[in-house]
Amino acid sequence: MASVSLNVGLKALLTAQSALDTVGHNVSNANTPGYSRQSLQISASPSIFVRGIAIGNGVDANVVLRTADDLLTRRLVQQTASIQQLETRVNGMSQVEALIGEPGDRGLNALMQNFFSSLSSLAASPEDVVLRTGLVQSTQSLTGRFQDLASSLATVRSDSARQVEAQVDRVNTLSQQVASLNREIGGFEGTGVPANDLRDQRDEALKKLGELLNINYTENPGGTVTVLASGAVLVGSTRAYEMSAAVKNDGSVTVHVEGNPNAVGVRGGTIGGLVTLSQDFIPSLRERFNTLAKNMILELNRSHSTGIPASGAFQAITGAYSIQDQDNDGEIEDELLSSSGLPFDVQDGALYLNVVDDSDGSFTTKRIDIDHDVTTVGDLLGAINATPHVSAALDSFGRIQIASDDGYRFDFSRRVNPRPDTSGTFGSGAASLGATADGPYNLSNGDTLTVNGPSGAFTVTFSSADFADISQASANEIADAINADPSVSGSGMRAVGSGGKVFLQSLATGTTANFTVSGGSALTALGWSAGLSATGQDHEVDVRAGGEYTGSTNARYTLAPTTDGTIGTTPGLTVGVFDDSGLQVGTLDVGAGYQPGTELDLPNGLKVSFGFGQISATNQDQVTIEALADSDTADVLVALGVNSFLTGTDASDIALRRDIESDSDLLASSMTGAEGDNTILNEMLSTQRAALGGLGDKNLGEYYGDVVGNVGFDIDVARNAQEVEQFLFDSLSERRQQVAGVNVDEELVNMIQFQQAYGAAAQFIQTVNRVQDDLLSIL
Amino acid sequence: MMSVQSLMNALEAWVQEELLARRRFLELLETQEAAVKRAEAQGLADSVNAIEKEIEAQLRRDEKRVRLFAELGHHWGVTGDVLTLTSIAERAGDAGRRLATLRDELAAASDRIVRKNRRVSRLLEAHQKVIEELLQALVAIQGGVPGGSTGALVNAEA
Repeated sequence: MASVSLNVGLKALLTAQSALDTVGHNVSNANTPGYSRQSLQISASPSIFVRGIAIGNGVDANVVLRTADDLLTRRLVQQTASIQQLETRVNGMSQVEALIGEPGDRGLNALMQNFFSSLSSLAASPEDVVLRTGLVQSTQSLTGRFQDLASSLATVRSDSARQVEAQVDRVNTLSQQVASLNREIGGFEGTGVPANDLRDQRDEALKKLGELLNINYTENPGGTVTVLASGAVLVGSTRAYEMSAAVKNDGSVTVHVEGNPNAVGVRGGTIGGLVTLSQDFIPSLRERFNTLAKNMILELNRSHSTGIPASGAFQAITGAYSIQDQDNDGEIEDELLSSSGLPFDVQDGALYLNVVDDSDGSFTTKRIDIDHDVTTVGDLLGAINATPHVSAALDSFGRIQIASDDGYRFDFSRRVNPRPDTSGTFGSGAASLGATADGPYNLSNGDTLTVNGPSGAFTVTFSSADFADISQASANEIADAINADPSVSGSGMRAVGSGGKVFLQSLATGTTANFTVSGGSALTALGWSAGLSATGQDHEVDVRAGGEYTGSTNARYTLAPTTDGTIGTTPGLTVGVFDDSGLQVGTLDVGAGYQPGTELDLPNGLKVSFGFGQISATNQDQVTIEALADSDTADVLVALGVNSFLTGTDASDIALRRDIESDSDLLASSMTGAEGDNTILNEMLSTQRAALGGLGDKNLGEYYGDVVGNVGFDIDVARNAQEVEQFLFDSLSERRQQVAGVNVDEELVNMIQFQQAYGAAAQFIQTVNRVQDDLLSIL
Repeated sequence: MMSVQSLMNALEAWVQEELLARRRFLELLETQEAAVKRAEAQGLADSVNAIEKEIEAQLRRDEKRVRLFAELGHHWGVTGDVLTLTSIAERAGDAGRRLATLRDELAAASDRIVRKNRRVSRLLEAHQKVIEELLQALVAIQGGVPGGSTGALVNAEA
């Protein structure tokens, strides 16, 4: 426990103010035998004026009492402003609390639970049409409630702002009254006649003003008062200054006083309460609802956007959000994807696009890398357009539209490609020869490669213009450079990049298909030597992958034979399993005794099987299986609103995607498209309990609980403060009564004693707080 | 060294002592509040002295608490300063149930004191301000006083 200094003697706490020291001298010696009490002689200059009486050369009892009375009145007026401000706030906040309606059937909490309950039911029977409709309805109820709340908060805010306008009218009326009374009082008292009735009327007007806003007023020579509202002169000696309220479209309000260029920060009185509601409480609450809605949209869409609807993969889809021309150059595609006005952030990462061949259900996966600082909208469109059978463009609203050719579909699922050997580099029917190592490859400008293909020889010359960096040439760049030469296909050959390695292959399959690498300066970089040849086979090995990847991050497994042989026949024939880093993480026995087509286990839930056929380590056979935990690590789909579940960006416009409302088959509940697959629904369901970074690592329910709890807490605090301020008001009123009819000297001494005692007590307030804090820390 | 059960018993006794002290504390704050409202300087000073004594007593009691925490920590292989009543109650399992209840009562009692203290603080601040303003007005300090800035003392009985 912290050391607490307890040596707080009362005498040591006498206020430092010199005037109080002077008077305090009396107190220190009040009980000293033989001490003659001294009294104050009040300076004549400068005088202060109270009810027209100048306090100066000496003070009589009446002056003291009147001064005390005026000061207490002034403080009571200020206290009234505090009470009114709190009352207005409590009323407004209570109204909002009623709107939130917790706990209750129409509260967001109940509706969120209904939504997740519907989701859970559908996950148990993902094909059930009635349950699909149930999810649609519960989603509509939930999003509708968000919108109602946002709209109601906007209305309360706007109403508060309008009420400020009305109260400002009252301020102007009262200010005019005070100014008018100032003139009359000045006129009367200038002739030496006390204007007591008029002063009473002015006091009353000042009290009413104090109910509307926090004011300070001082009496001037001649009996007039100057009234200040947050530093701005509201009433001068002879005239009032017009107050006005400016309400903006968003419901915010500012208060101005004639002659002041800046807005006046009214924090007290009814107006202060309304302004606080309009400027602080409601916007802050609205922001919290918006955060909740935005994170719900983000998280549910993260799952849904990579799912496949009951109706199957897509032939065409349009994003929900528009890309904006941020630099106003008339071009949209040059915008950085991460700064293109989309409502959700685009991260560094990758998007995987699957293109499905309707004829046999096989698909190829295109990985599109997204660099937050580099990738433009045009880059994304270009990458999609470079994918065979798929095209992308922006519509007139700036929304992305993706479409596939007839006979093809596309999706963004992370499902395992059941036919991963799309390039035919593992036991291919074609003659196939891979480089001895994965890329990048250290080529030089002008390097050549000569091959004798089935239909003749070709020589390719590599140019640095075809590479980002020819000394770091990727497998795909080399394959593209080779295929770009028409003589290659003319000789019955092609090149492919697969799993980071470049392969040469014959176009024809079968045992008659063969080729020989005959020379060229690029051989060394590719690990080949002149005379190396490859021959095709009649039985292409059918590689099938399956299972569900359970790893937490995206991975890639490369399978490569360790020797040459025939699946299911050659004794000791094995296939090595290598991870991203090239580390061997498993070995599959596919030799004698293996029944071709039998599933074998790969790491993290994946499975693979091999059909009959020859595989060759000598020819560098390999097949790569992409294992995706997340097929959109860049959040591109969420940002563009592609295949979203919810649309909108905050509480005011959150909604179920419109076409899902009318066709629940568009719910992308499945990861594979297979009947009964509820993977995506389960993922969406897990959002309910997930700690979300955007919500301060709270889950949806906890965050909302905090929002509601904070409203209740704010109201409690305001009510407590209101109670304290009212108590203070009563206490000061009581004190005002006590001042009347006392002995002036005694009262002065009492005041000093109180100042000392208050000082000591105030010190202990802090000590008590510290002691309580210490205690709370060990609870 | 005492057993965990004995230490738990001693700790419960300590919390009960604290609870009684919280009640006394609250009463003193109520007395202080009344003195401020009634403008009784002596009453205010008396309550401050009483609070001072109460705080001194609390510091003495806390030494005992620190010792109990240290011994319990020794049993559990941690230092005493990482323990709280909540964590002790959890570690003690069933034997900590009563302590958990007492802990909640202590938290509630402390909360009442914090609230009352805040209220007295606000009250003191307001009254102090009023009197300060009144005294300043009476001695006309703001514009300076002939013969010095402190006003002048005269013998009232002369």
